[in-house]
Amino acid sequence: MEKYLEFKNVNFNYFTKDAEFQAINNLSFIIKKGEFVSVVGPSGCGKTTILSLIAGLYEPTEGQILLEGESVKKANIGYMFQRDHLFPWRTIYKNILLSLEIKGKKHTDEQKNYIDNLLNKYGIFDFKDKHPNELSGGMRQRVALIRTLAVKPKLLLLDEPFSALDFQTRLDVCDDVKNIIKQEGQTAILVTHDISEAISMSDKVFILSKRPATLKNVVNLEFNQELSPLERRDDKNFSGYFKQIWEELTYEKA
Amino acid sequence: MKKHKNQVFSLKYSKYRKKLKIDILTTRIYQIALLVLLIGIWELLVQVGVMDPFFFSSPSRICITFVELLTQGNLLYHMWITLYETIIGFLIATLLGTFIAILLWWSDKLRKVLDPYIVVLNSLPKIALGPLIIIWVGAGTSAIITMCVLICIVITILSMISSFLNCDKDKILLMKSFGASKWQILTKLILPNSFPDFISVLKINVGMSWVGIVMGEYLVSKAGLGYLIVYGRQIFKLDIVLTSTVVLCLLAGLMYFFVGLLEKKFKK
Repeated sequence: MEKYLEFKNVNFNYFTKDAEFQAINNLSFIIKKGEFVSVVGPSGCGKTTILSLIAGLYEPTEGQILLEGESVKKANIGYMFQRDHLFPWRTIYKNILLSLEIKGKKHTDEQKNYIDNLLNKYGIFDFKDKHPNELSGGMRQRVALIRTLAVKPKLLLLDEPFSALDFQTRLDVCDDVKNIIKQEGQTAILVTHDISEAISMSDKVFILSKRPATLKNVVNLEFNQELSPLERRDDKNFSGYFKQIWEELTYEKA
Repeated sequence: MKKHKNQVFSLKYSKYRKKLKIDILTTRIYQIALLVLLIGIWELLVQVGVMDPFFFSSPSRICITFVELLTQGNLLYHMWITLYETIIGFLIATLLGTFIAILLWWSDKLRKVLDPYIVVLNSLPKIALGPLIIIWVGAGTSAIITMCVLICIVITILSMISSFLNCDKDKILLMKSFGASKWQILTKLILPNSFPDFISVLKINVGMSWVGIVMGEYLVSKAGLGYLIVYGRQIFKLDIVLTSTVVLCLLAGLMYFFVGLLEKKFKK
């Protein structure tokens, strides 16, 4: 088994004026290259904290987080948020170029081609000179994903990226995003409180305990590789997985 | 919204649009009528002798004084002086204030340390500093402009820093996840994000800078509309006082109008 992302006995404490909280307790796991992993857990258990640690926004109090054997601190990691956070004063295209601008990379022809290619492939090209407020919520979230992919991140972190969308759009965008991630061969970690979403999108589901978060169980999802997230919801295995995860979470809360 | 030419509207929709147009039109008519009415009553009361023109002047006398001042009294010169001082004061206060707000955003420590000073400076009636200003920078244009800057700058700093700090935390995280430096966060996110608030500050400062300049001119001046008002009061010619006030109203309105144009241009 080849390690790609590795958590080695990670502890994380955070401080407020009045107290110190243990947010993550001795968390260890391994994610392989190209895997799509969902993280579910009781609310407030520190799911988002895990993503912030991987993104290098915080440092673990103890333990190590390694990507391809090196510290994640300087690694190229893509982060997608609940809301698209497209900048309204930039056109779609300029929004997508933002990440490249920050990395100080000159826009080489190769990168331009790569981005144009992404835009074309995922139906954004015709909108590239529009402003974000002219696009629908689902479309904007797709642009946000392409903005993240533009710098070819080694790892993609998704922090409930669909929760701000209405249910219908959400199912559509789920399919879209999963499709894009699969085609680009990205390794991704999705944090969600929606069990169905976790099952429909990922290869594995990590179930966390309540705070301080520790890894409680890993559910390997076995579906036909060709199924889209929407089709998975109709698969015969779906409800079994749902019941299993739901029970573990409910038991955790009790 | 797309505009369709030659589109056929339903009868009810046509009626609705007509109603909207009539509403705008009647509002304008009432506004103008109110102005005409007030001026008319003023003139009438003075003409029939209820109000003494010595104390209250009158619209016709203001018009006559306006022409007199234009032809014999260097009114354009006074207008220019005040306008020039206001624009300089306005620009210094807005730019310097925004710059200080950027420094305060940059350093949390600096902001925390200076917070009580800014609060006190904000609640202090700036006119109390008038005599000090005159002694420090000299009795002249620079004192007037300093007065104006003092009045506008605190509100500029407070508005801009609160706008900077209001920026969505996740947007900053997004920038950080791309590895953005503080300078990049400032220039690519914070500043453009605060642009609408900057325009609001401009609008507030248009009004405030006139207050500052006229106040300064009351304290110390040899020319300008504020000077003309003080001068008119000293020789007890209310015609001059009121004419200058009306001109002041017009100039301030004009400046506000230009900031409005600027806003429209950037809002698109």
